[in-house]
Amino acid sequence: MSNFPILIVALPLCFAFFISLLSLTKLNRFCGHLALLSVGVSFVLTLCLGPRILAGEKIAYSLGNWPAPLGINLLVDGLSYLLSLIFGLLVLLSVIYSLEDHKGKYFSLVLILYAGMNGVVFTRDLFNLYVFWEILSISAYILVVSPQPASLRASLLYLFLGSLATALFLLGVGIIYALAGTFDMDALAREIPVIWRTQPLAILLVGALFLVSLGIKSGLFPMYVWVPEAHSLAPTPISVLLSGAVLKIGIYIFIRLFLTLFRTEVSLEGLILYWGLISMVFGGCLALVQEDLKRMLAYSSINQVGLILIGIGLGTKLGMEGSLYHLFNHALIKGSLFFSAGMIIESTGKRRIRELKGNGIVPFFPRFSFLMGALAIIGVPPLNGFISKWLICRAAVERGNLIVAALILIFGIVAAVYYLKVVQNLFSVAKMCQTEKRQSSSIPWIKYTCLGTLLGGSLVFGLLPSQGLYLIREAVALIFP
Amino acid sequence: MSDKIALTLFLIGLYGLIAKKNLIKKVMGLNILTSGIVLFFISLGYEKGLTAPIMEKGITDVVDPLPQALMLTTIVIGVCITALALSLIVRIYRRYSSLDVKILTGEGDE
Repeated sequence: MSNFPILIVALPLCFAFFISLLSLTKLNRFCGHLALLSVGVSFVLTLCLGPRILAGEKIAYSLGNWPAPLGINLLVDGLSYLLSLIFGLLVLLSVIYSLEDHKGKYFSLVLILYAGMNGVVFTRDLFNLYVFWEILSISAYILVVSPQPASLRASLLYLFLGSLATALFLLGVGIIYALAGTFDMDALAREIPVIWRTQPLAILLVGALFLVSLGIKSGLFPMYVWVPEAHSLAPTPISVLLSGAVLKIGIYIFIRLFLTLFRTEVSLEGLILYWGLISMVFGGCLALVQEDLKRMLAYSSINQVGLILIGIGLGTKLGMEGSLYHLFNHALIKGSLFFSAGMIIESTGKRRIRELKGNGIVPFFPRFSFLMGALAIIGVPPLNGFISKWLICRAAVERGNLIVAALILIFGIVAAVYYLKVVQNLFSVAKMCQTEKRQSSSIPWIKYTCLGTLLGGSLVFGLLPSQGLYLIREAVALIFP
Repeated sequence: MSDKIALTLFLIGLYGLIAKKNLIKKVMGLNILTSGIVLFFISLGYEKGLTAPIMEKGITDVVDPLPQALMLTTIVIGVCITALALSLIVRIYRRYSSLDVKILTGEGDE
């Protein structure tokens, strides 16, 4: 079982290679099924690690059998496991969703993206983390390109900002190597406090470089510009992956580097709290004025990422619990919202919120799931968004930060305004229904299963929050032992 | 000395990436920025008077080989990014017949 981490990363990479070969032959309609098989196996391997991780164990693997400071180590602990679980689920559903529409190289790119995501969360080596991050980013840049011509410029914009972010990260890694002489995270955790005493400015510089780079990658306030473009113009399954998984990579690296490694005397809590607050306010306000359905969802992602950061910035155990749970919930909810938005756009051919009014040709299930997703993300009780928002709010109140708690509640209402506007348009009485012929292409049932899984997940984790909190307990224990 | 050159290259690249209006020049800026970082890493491993790290008997003072090995990876990644960016720019040029940065903000679309 100790070689599972490398298998989880390497299997999709190998299959990606085979699929790109297969797409050249006559059998290229089976590319999707092969991709599904490989993602499925990787996901099952991740699930197999579950019982041991949740019992508090850590599973380590040394690449090439070189011990820690020399070689590259992979380590699965509570935090990596949580993230890997989210990625596995979302990638699996996205591959299922795109089985009908896409073929060939698309799937090999999705597999490379998946391998990169797992690599980032498992590795214990900073440079290796950079390499996996680039692997996943490059495949994400390519995947953003859809048949819509405007997606080309979205992809290029994402590429410029993303490469700048990874370049800044690499510069920070270089400075750390110059100071500490190692890339291994465990060794760095011992070295950094020593270096902090003699050269605090250098450590601050590294911290600033990392923060800017992570801010770009997770779409925080001043550097968010690529988020609405890439999210709204990408194909539906890729929007799901970008919002549910790729944005979360930045938050993961932030937690890993700043909260479990570089524990210095300078407290980042205030900065993170207010940065998250500004992102939340900004994302929420801009989502209000959007006319494009998927663009509104993208701004809502900025809003939710801000909320996750607020929970981290509160600096208490409860806040961290709420944040990690919201990270998990947001992946489920935004996944179902983007899937249903994709189905609505697919069946009506209309993207603008106004034009959705009175459209009888939208099938019932996407409308219903959009409503459920909207209720979940607003934070209505029986659904999972409520639990995590409540935890973050309670943490804010316990810290005596009543303004933050009030703002979270207010922006819950703002979210209600912009989501229910869409819901109202979707459910308004269909007048034109008779005149317009039912031209909607019927949506294959397999797409409904993707949506159903995510909706079921948000209902289950809303009704049984203890199950979800059990999943994140080990991750929280890493940061607040 | 070499780290100052590296910093200069990095800043030139950053300026190119931010301030240039032409998309191809932006890609060039990104390349210069990456080469600045590569030079910075290489200068970390280098020390005057030391020999190549070939582990034979009698060779004791060797340079740190790790940064050089890592920079090969970075150079390859840089090539990937450049190739991808240029291919996107080719397709953008075919559609919009322009290389101006205004394309990226979505002016004149739809």
